[in-house]
Amino acid sequence: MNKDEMKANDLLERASIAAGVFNLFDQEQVNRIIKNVYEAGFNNRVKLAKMAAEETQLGVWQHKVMKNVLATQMVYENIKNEKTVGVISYDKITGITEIAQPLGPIFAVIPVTNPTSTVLYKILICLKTRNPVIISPHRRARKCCIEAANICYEAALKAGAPEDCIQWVSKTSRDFTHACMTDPRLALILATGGTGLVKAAYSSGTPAMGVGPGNVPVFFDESADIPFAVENVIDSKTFDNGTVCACEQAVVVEQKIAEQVIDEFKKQKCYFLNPEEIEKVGKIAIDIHSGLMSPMIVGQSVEVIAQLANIKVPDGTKILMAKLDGVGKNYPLSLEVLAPILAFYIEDNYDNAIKTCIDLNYLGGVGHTASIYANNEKRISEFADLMNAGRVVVNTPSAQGAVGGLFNTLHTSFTLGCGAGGKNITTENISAVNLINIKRICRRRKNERWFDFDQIKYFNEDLSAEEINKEYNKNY
Amino acid sequence: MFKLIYELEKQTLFCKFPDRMDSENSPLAAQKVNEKLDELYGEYKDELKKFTENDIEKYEKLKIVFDLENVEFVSSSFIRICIINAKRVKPGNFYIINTQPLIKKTFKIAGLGNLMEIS
Repeated sequence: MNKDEMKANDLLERASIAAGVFNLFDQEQVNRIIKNVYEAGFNNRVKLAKMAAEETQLGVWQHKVMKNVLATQMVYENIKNEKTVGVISYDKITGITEIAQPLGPIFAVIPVTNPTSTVLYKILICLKTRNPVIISPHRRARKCCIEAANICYEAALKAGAPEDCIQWVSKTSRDFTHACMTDPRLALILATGGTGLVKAAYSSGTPAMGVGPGNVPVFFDESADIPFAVENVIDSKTFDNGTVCACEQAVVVEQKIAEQVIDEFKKQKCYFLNPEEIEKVGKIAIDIHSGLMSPMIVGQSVEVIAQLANIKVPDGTKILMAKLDGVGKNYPLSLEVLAPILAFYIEDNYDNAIKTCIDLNYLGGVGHTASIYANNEKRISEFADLMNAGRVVVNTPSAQGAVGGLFNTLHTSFTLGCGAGGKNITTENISAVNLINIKRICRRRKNERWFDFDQIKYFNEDLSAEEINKEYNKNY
Repeated sequence: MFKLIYELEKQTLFCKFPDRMDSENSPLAAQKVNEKLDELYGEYKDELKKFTENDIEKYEKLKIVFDLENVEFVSSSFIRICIINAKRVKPGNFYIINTQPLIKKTFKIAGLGNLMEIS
């Protein structure tokens, strides 16, 4: 056993012991623990946000405070009344009793874009379901994540939680992460991060819940309230400098309202880049060879991006808008960029606008999120039908909308499942309900039709499905 | 029912199809396209491309455009015809145009977004 394997072994051994002890806890004890943890996390929301912004050098600390609030207060509100221990339901008629069982040690991978908030959220949903959690932070967000985990751990211990119910990895290496992920004692990996990481998690042989990449199109229908829509998009796209993977990546409008939309964006301090500037920004935003966004612009402000691209923009510009003619690798800004840069498409009619949304959706955001502003039910349902997305948010800032809890009743979550299209198992907003195994006690309830039916008939091959079915349902 | 127009100057074959490209219509369409290409290039009778050395230059420039303006349903046999024709010409010279949104999504789900230009 090398050093990495030994470290992983130690970690998993402690986690397994914690899982064993956790198994003895009842719902009331668990609820007390997460209340304490939520309060501790909430009380440190500002400190942790400032630490995260300083260490990662991306985003806006005030917005990171809001993320920490979401990850504590909103997540807590969302899960506090949920039954996650022991018998969670019983139906006398069906005879089925459902019992929640914990999974076991969970390995939680934390991204650099939402570090402390993801730590707080994952700890809360893991503890609520009696699963010990191992926090593995991104190397550029190590300090703040460990601080967040430590705060939670102390609060949990004070409320009587088992020792080692929260652990963290202070120094990671590829081998070490691999050793943890493939350890047979590990029950689940909660993988939030880039495509490579999610793939590694899925390939480990341990069950994993991951996320997929996004490329969120937002369609402005002619029935949309344009000033309202523009304001909402700006709120979402500028939130923490666009680090939320569910934030809008491209606005698509029909020709007939294009001018009005452009004027409104300009009025609300967004700057439309000229073709030369689009090329300059494209070069620094996307790495041409890999087709992926460049880390140096992720979560940066407009000023920093303008400086990097060597362009001049008016003071106070909120978003850089790039009017593009096409979708794909030849138009770098049509790809996902987690920064205040927004692609803009004008199409001559509704069908073409929808088709551009399909292109954007399939360019790299299958299963993630799509957004529409409209006051026309038919358009909304058509749009929802044509998008391959886990969430279609309507008249809502998509970053805050997809996360849930503020603009809708989705589970508040920092791990947004992207379904088969994003190589995930579910399109749900991952929450406590996903971290329990449900055992079903099935009491005897005879299927009367089956027993009343003369089963000898099944041996007679001359009887068709229709004939058997008629007999089977006779007098029923 | 099928409309095939060849524009000599652009060396482009435009094909327009009726509303339902089901398993009955699709083979007919394939035949029409093959016949037309055969008439133009002489070597297209078989499904797989065959052409003489002299044809290479002509063939290199050939573009095929499927106009799906009226098409509301496509069967798998029609999608296969699209693939065959896309592979027949130089990469990037096969186009599907004027799709209805749902048909476009069908092609995307079928995974043909990278093989052909769909608009």
